[in-house]
Amino acid sequence: MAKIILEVRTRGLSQYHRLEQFPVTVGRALDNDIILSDPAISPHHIQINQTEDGSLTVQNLSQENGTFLEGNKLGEGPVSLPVPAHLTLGGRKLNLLSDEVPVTPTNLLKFSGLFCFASKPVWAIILFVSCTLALFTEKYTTTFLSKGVWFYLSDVLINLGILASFALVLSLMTWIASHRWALVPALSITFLLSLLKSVLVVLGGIFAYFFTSDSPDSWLSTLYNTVLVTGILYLYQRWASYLRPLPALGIAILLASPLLVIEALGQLDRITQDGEFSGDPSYNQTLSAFNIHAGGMLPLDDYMQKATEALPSQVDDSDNNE
Amino acid sequence: MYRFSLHIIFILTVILGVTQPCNAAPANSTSIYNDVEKSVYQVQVINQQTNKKTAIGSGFITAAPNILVTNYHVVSTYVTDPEDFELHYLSTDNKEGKLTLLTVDVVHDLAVLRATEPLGTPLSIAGLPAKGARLYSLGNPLDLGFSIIEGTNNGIMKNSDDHNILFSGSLNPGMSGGPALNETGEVIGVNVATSGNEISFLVPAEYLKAMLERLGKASFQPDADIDARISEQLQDHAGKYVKLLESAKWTTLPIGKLVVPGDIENYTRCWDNSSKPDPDDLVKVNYTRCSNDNSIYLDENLEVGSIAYEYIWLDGGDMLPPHFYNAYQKQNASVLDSEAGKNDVTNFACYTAFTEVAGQEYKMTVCRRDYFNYTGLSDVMVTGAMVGHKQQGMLFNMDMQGVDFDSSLQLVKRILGGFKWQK
Repeated sequence: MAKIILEVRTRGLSQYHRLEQFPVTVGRALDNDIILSDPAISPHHIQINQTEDGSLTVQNLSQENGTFLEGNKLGEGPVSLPVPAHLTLGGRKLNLLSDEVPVTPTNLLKFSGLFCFASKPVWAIILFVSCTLALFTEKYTTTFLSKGVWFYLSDVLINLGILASFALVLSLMTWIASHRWALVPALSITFLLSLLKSVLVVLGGIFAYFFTSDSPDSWLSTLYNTVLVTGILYLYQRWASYLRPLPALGIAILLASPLLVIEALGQLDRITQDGEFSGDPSYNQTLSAFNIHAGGMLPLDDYMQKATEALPSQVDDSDNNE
Repeated sequence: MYRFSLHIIFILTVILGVTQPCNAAPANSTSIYNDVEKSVYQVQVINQQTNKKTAIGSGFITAAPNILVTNYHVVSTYVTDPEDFELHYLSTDNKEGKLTLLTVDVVHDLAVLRATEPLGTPLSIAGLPAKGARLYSLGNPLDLGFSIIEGTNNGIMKNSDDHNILFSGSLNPGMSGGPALNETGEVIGVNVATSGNEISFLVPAEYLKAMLERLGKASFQPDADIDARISEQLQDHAGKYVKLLESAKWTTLPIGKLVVPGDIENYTRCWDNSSKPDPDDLVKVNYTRCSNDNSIYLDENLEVGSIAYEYIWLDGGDMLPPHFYNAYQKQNASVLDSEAGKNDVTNFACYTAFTEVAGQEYKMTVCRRDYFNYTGLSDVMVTGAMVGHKQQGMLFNMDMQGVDFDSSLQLVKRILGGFKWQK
């Protein structure tokens, strides 16, 4: 006959008790067979008994905190207890299992698929170096005064500090969820996110110039702030913390919330400004050293002709005049 | 950064400043003052709600005993809001009465008004005397009392395109619209503006004469639609003005590797606007700005007619091209210096594409916004950035306020056509 296991679910690592000799008492008092130091558990909370035909019963001994079997509140008398079953004692969840229940194979910190590389220190170092170089390049190419190397270094160090804090928060989340720090993957993912941002900024500029339009840039930025960051963090939580989809999504959104809020405010601004008067013209101001663009070079006469066609009077037509 | 500015000499009565002593008037001006005193009035714009004056200027009788002339800018508050304001006159002996607006000339800043009863002897109009001739300007400076100011005629200003008379005498706020007389007491101009230090400006009387002739034919009836007349005047002026600029003589100006059109003789002047070079700057910037000083006053926040074009040459030395282009892009942000608001103009609409000027490629943008009340007039902004050079850039910006869109593009073409590339 299969052995019976009582699982006491706790965050991180659950406790398992093999039930061999009946009756088994569960409670907070030290004379129980299974002692749970949970303040919501009564000193003597339940008793599990085996009948002569081998089936189990459970009896609720606690009037103050109560016991639920599959969500139904138990009275005072013993009731039959199937295997498997879910019990709730006070706020604590217990599962009654057979030892024949299959367990998913573990892959402790061996990342599969996309995140396989993230757990390897060598990748963390590669990403760290690339990210540092990207931050340095970004600062260097947007400073138009000749400055010493310390000027750039201090800026890069501040940014790296912020990234390191973020990696720690990420790591803490993994610890809370699975009692492991997973610092290397957290650092890898953090540097990857930062590197991705730098790359997208450059790509955004190139596309904006190529299409003579601000939209590629703003689309890429929106994509990064919403889907990319949240998505990568979600996958990370799934892989690194072994979280189920919903909690993983929750933590991903929580971590990405500053970006999401900024993006939402930006979109809100855009919507409110759309109908408003502005004394400033809005046109695509991007310039690119590579000078690659989709629209060809027009002779001046053609250009003026096209400009005239593209810009009719906004007040002559009565339907344009709101 | 230099900006040539005229201060229009009308002022709210509440902000009266310190007066300057007037020129001592010799015997000659005594007789002139006595002769014309009865023909000079103060013009007041009265807020009907409070029954108090909100703006003052001067005016004089001409053409007929009940016809009074002043500046447009004196009565502009009334023109833009005739429901809430009234026009009144006040004589040297404190006689008061209501005035009706007959017509305006916003281009030359003139307005003609009619009183219900004869006010005095009409002053006659004469041509401009020789340069150096004595002139006498009358008005009510700072609401302190009627005054006569003696000065010298320095002729029509050639380098300014409103073609006003340069009067070397001290006009002060409140004298706007008053007459400037020759030694025989005939009107040769109308007080209009001052730049301080005895530099003052008069509207030549010939423009007034043309207005009065037209009104006389209509037996001095008010114009049916003042706004439509203003639109017509602005459009007519803008069209003519752009044509004049196109046909005028242009000087050339070297900037970076280019030679570009500089001053338009008698119309625009160029100034170097480069900021003081900082040895740490990686990009060297040469900045030249050319502009006219012609702005037509419409109301407190709205002036049209200004044209400005600027050239900015950027040299990045041996910077990495993407580094230089980041700096270049930062400079590529043109705005229009204007106070026009949402009740005056539409939003800008822009068109951006690549074009070729003097063998070089430019990313060029034309923006346009239109005036609601002055049909056919637009603000036009053109901005182009030379592309294709690794460490050198050139920005060309041109702003035109209150112009006809099509003819403004002709002017842009004229300027761009004057670009020459030098190896």
